[in-house]
Amino acid sequence: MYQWLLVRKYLASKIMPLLASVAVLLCAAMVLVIWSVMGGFLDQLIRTGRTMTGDVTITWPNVGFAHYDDLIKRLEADPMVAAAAPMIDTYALLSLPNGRTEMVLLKGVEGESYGRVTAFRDIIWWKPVPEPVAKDAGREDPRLDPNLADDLARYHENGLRLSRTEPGAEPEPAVVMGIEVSGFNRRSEFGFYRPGVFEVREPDGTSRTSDDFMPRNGSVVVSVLPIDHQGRALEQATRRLPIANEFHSGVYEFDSKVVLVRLDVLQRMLRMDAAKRIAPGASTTDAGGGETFATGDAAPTLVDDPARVTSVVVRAKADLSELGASTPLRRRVEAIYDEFAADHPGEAPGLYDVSIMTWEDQNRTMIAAVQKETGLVLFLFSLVSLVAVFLVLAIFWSMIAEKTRDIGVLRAIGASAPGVAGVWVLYGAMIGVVGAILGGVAAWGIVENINPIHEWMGRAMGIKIWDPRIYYFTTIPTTLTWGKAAVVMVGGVLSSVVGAIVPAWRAARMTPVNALRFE
Amino acid sequence: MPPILTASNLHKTYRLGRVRVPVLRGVDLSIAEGEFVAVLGSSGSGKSTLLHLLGGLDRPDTEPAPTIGFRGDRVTSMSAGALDRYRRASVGFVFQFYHLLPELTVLENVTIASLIAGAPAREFAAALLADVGLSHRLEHRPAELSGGERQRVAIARALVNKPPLLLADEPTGNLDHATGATILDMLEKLRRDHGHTMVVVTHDAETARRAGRVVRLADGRVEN
Repeated sequence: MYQWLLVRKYLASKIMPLLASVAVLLCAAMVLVIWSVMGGFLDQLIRTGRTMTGDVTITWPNVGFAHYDDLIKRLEADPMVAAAAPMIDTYALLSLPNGRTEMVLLKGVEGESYGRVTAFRDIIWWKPVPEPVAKDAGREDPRLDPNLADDLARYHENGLRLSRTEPGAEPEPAVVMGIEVSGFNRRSEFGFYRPGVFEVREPDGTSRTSDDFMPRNGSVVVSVLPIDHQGRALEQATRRLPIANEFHSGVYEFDSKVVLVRLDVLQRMLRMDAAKRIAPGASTTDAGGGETFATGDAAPTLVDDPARVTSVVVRAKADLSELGASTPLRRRVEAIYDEFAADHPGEAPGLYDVSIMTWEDQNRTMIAAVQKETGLVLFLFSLVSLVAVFLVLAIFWSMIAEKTRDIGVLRAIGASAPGVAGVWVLYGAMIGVVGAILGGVAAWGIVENINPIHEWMGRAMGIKIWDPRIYYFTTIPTTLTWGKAAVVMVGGVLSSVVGAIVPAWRAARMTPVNALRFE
Repeated sequence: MPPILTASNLHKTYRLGRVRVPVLRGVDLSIAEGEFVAVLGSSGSGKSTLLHLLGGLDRPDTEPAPTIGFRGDRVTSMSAGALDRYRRASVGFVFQFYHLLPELTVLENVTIASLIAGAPAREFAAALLADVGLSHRLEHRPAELSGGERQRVAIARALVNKPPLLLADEPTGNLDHATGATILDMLEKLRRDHGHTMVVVTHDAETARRAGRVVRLADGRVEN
């Protein structure tokens, strides 16, 4: 085909079409990078949405519900369910070793069962690691230090059990904090953390610099507000707890706000443990806000109050990471809970009182927002990419003016009008192919190195585009798939072809004699 | 010999803005198979226009009912596609300014005509270029050739599809006398060897002298 010969020659000898290729390259790379980041953001949201909550969560906040062991037994007997675990969610004040006080989300969990339902075991940070994180070519991660391996192994074990065990001593209940909660850990550009020094205020008003490592000898003071059966706040409970370990989920919101504590400890602090308590309804509040008992001077009736939790988290046997996949499990959990509530009248809220939500339900607003934003941003940048169409059109228009006499020669030696148009359409397609392939390669390079590039921009130019406090995740997430790359690259080729069509039509309309006489 | 090409009642008028400029005012012509005809005329007499009409590069005015016939086919009634086929299979053009494609090599400039015809003839193209003495220039670009060499490439291109009719528009008009003479010698030899019918437009009496018949054109008409 003579069109191929001409296109090959034109590609090798002309500078201007290369500019069109660069335009296609930039547009394809731009759209692909944006799609990869937005898609990565959504994928990360979906992945991490289940990191600390499992697939389905049954919640009755504040007061909580009893007989959760029975509920968990019923759930785990179902063929769809892999595991279920009890949990208490409450807000707490956390006093850090440097005197700073933070409002955090305190989660009471059993390390073992919580680890079966969520990714808890995987996200504990301070543990020996065999290989450095991807970008840590210099192996600077302190977790790689063989001298710390034994201590790190002990801290890891402590984290899993939510306890701190000192040699020769009984295990002591402890907390596992998000790695960003204390503010003492310094994140390196390669993605690992180094424990940092911090200022400690002494009671006499002086301060000293401490280089304490939280899982070794750090502790925090936790204050929570228990609530009775009638929803009234009771006296604040405060307890100093050592730090067993820290976790890194990759979700900044979790890593900076969540603290895990042993379930039994939090139950006692919130008076949700099993105990003999005054019968609910035996007391009333008088006009002055004080508590009085209807029985006058007689002692209040004590009843066995079973232990309670605010949530039960459920993990499915099947992988439910796809959007919409967890709905059947929710329906099954609802059915199981309905039977459970019917068997515990007055002690467990009814099906329509509790909240039973999938991980997707809990993150629905965010997922929908990101999906819509992805579509909108892609649409807008695709519009911007129309620049490539007009650039190809302008360049080809100019080239066809330059090549008018050659077109006349081709017509004179027998080329048909569609054949001549085909030269330019094919030429446009080839420019698109070159631009789209190079754009795909450029996008791959950018996406693969987007976090180092971002960190370099921050260091060299002071530009910080991705703020984890705003964007949820600590690093820029990306997902580049062959499917996305193919769509964008085909789009790049098509835009180039579209840009070439009008000039090609102009070339085809030239009569041979007019083209030959063109001055 | 039977006519290969006939033309009757050919008129052609160009528009320059609002002005109508008649170039051909009723040309009648008949050319026999294998004939070498020179169309002689001064500048502006309509020689090139006549050649373009005969070769299907342009169409005559539709009034008053022109006819161009090629071996019994009416060129003037051909569709655009049929006219393309006529140009690629039946006619070879040689232009005054060579009109080679600058990005292609000498060999590619000749071969491309056969590619357009759908019958790639790379070896025949190389043989033709050897016939015109350019076998050592196959991979050169037109910009690296002299005027005479370029015209020889154009001649090879015109012949690569073995057309029965060769139309040459001032083939020596851009060359010095000696080179022009060489080109004419070559055209004559190729015509004899391959049996082409050849129509050469020229205003050069020396070129016309070599033709078997001279048709004089003046003011858009054939002079008797």
